[in-house]
Amino acid sequence: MQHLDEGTIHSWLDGALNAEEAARVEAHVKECAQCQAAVAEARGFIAASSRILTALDNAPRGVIPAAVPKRRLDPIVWRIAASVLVVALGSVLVIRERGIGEKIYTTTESPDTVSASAPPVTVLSNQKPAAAPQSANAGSGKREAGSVGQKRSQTAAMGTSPTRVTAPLPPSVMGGNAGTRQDLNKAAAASQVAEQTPRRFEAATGRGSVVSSLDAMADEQPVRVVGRPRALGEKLTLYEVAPGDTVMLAEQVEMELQSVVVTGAGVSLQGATAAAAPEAKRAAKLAPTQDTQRSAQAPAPGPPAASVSFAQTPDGTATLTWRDSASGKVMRLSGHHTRAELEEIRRRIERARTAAADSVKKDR
Amino acid sequence: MTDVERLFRTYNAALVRYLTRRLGDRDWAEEVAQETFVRALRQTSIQNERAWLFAVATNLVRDEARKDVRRRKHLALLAEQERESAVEPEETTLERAQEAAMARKAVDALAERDRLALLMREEGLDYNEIAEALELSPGSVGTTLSRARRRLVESYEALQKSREEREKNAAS
Repeated sequence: MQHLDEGTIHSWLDGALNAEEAARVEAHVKECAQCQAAVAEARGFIAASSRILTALDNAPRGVIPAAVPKRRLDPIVWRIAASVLVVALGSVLVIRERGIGEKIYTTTESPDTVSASAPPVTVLSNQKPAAAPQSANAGSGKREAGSVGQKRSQTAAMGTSPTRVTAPLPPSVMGGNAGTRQDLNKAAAASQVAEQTPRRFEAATGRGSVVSSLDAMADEQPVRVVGRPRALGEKLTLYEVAPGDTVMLAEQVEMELQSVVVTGAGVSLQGATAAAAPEAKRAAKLAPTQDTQRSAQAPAPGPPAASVSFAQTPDGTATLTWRDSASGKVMRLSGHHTRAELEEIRRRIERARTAAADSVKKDR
Repeated sequence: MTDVERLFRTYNAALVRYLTRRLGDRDWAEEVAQETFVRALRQTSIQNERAWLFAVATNLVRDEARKDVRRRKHLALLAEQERESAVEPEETTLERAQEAAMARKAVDALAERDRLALLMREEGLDYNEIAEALELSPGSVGTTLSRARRRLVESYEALQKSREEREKNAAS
């Protein structure tokens, strides 16, 4: 009989041969010194490779900024937080009917006073799409997200929807009360529409915003972190913006020599992020008010063009580059999208990150 | 207990370990494993559960990786250079980390198919399951595994040897 080939020996040792073949191999090995040696060697390889692979089990956790909480903590907490925001939102734009069709618009003093402080509240139900990207981004589960709802919300957020009356972002969600005057302007704009179609408007207001906003919240799909490729000198995060559609956010990371030495052992960039993380936390702590103001202003019509650059490769990969105003880091967002889409995605990511950062602060 | 719960309880640990070994990042591995179970949720029936789960997880990793291969290659090269040029720290505290790093390097040096077959085998998949998950003929699994094991051990030993030599040089 011919000598056994290595594959057969491994199959035999792995118990993958049928009885007949196994008996044949066994009989041969008993008589053939050369194959006995080969079997011994194969056993050695099997044991050694198992041992080597076990060493991989001490893999580091992903390179996660402190601002991003573990996903599994999200759903319930976030849904509650989102509902609270929705209620707050409902109390911001209040239209009270008085006398003969005269309308007076009021805004509550702060989104933090969550109660519906204006009793006979009627709320523009048109704001549903506007509410959606905010509240849902705050973390409703991805699973309920329907692409239809998502598209609708996106359009609304991009301001192309015909129901744009109240679409500009309400300050309650963006975490600031800096927009009171703007709200009045918006409300005034809304009134014009409302006067044109009083009947329809009243009918629509009856249902209240909470229910519709909750609907929208379930519809909207939050950006989801699907991976963090390891890279040197920058932190990469892959976000899924729609099923099967992933974009990559690259973020500058300042590395210290110490981290590089530790990384020299080849395990991770943990040191680097650990060094970067407290900085981010500090920044967040130092400037909560600036933060909220910025987020209240920035998202509406898009960031100033000067700070953002856009490039596209022939294969269709587009990249948006900007400097994060909080950290000063250069951020790059790449994906197979148009500029407008990328900017929208950027806003969604920023909202998710802001929300995540807020929740981390609350946890502490 | 629903079917997916049962699947999760039965296979999650092995799947996460497989993916962690494959990706070198436990969080990422858990994300991919979760996505795999979500996909399982959408299936009406799965014939060979273990083979199906490992195949889907493998494809999820592959699909993502394919998206930016060139960029990753470049970054991997940079990381490699950093590692090479880094000053070796004291061994006492980092010995395990160094072993892990060498193991990672040795595993990364394998051909993709060899690597996946080996990692699946380590999680207890039999030859038929590996063949199904990787779309190989069952007859070739033994050859694939024997090649993978030999190469893994040989390249690990080569790394070990060069490390020992470096240490010897540094000491003298």
